[in-house]
Amino acid sequence: MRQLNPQEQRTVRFAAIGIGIYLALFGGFLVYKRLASARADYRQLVAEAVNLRQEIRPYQDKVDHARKLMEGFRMDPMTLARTSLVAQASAAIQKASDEAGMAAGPIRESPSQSAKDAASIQFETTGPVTAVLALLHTLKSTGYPLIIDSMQLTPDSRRPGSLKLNLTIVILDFDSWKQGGQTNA
Amino acid sequence: MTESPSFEICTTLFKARIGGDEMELPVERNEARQITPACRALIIAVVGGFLMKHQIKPGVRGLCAIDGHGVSLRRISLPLATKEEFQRLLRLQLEREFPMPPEQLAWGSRVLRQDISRQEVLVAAIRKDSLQPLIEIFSACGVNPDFTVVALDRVARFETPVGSFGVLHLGNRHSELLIYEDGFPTGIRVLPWGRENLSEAKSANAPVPKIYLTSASDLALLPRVGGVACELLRPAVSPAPAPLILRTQEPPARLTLREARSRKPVVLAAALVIAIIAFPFLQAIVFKPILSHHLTSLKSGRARLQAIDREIDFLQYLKASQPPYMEVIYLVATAASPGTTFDSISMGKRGDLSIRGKMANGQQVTEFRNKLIDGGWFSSVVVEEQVPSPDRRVTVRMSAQLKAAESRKPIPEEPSHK
Repeated sequence: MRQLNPQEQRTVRFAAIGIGIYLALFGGFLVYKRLASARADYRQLVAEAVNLRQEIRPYQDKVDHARKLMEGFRMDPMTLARTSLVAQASAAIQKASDEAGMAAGPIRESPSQSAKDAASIQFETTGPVTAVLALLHTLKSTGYPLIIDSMQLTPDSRRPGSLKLNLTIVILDFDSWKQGGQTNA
Repeated sequence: MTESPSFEICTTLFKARIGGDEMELPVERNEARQITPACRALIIAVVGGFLMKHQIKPGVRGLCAIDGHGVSLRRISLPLATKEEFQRLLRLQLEREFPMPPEQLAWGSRVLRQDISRQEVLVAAIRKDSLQPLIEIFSACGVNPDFTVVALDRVARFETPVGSFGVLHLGNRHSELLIYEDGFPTGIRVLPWGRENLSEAKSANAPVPKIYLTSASDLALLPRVGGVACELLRPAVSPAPAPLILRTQEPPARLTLREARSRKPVVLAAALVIAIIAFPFLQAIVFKPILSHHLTSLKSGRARLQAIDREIDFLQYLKASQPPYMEVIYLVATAASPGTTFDSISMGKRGDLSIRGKMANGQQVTEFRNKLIDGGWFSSVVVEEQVPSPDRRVTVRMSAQLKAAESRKPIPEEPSHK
């Protein structure tokens, strides 16, 4: 093999340096591109996380508020079972009436008039004024979503000093809220 | 394994050796002792072929021993020091000992003797430009030469006598005399006679009191120089030291402690800049999987947020839909005058109140209505029917409509009874 003269050696050396620089730049560019892509993905994730945090932040107050309401009603809507809701609510109403010192009368259950109601109950009970007020007070916290649709107070002709209380109570259905959101009521 | 080539170039002879194979070429020089272009081309061609024959690849290192022309020897005493400090001290001594800066010299050193505090160093130096033609020849042959001084290399295989003496090596037309003082080489003289003109040697003046030869055949040819009898050097028992290499290039400068300290802030700043540039990328690489994992778990919990929304809507609706029956009964009771009896009080979720009862007279009816209105809870109070009854009382039927929750007046607290 012919020996390279110094000029040829220098040319080869310069070519090698040039190719080396090119490869270094090319490799560096590829590495930079990959790193930049990873960084862009990361920044996107960070932006997503910030948005999510802003979305979640108000829920702390909402959760506190919901907890207070649940404590007031003594009820967690998530735990209500739709199938036995009316039966259990009816039993709770009678129990509240008994505990308030009222004498329970006839109870009539009728199917719901609205998609958001599970049923409505017509309930008649008699008792003294204090018991009536106690019952009206305790019906709010029976552990079931009850709304007194209408109330009628009349004197009990059979027992002087007693009042007859006719209540129409609506039992709300939380499951329909789960599916449909708010009502127009 | 291929052995490294070695070369020896004297005034009139060029030798190349690879393993046991050896070749020789005559060297032609001009008046300025420069190798002639024709001889140069011949050496390049022949040596190139010799190397190819032994499959020596270009770029191989080869030991090239040169004769004593232009070589200066110095004996330098230095304190014991670290390797870096030794080089620095040696350079300082070179600057003092030689008339030109060390950068213009090809030089090498060897420690010949040392005690607990000092060391005696032999330095051999030659002008770089005098080696340049040889460097070009070897470069053209594809050899990177390590230059050494053949006279020093030659005597390294023999026991060194004590005192002052000379070691003579006979060439064909020139000879070399390595002069020792107190057991140390101090100079090389190239003598203008050799085997071909020994008569000049016999009549020459000997510059040293004793002369040693390295070859028995030379001793037979030249038993005396001038008036001094020659003797044969005894071969060394210990192995020969490594050849003294004349460095043609300065070794890469090592930083002194001071320089390193002065560069430390620069290095730190550079590291900081690199760290600042690299941090966003490293952050992305390190934290992306962690963040991605957190986001996935948060997104999976997003459905729970909708459930919370529905739950709170439901509870708020339930609360807002509770009619204020207790408050209405309280307001009706406080508005009624003594003697008033109610036959019926009915109220619906939408706030429509209906009252039927008896009052003492029409004045009480008016007062009752006014009190209900003043209570701030009813938007309208209508006496639908007011009929006097036979017992001089008034049977009355009234209706009222509750105001919206936000426009009702707060009910004053009942004073406590003592």
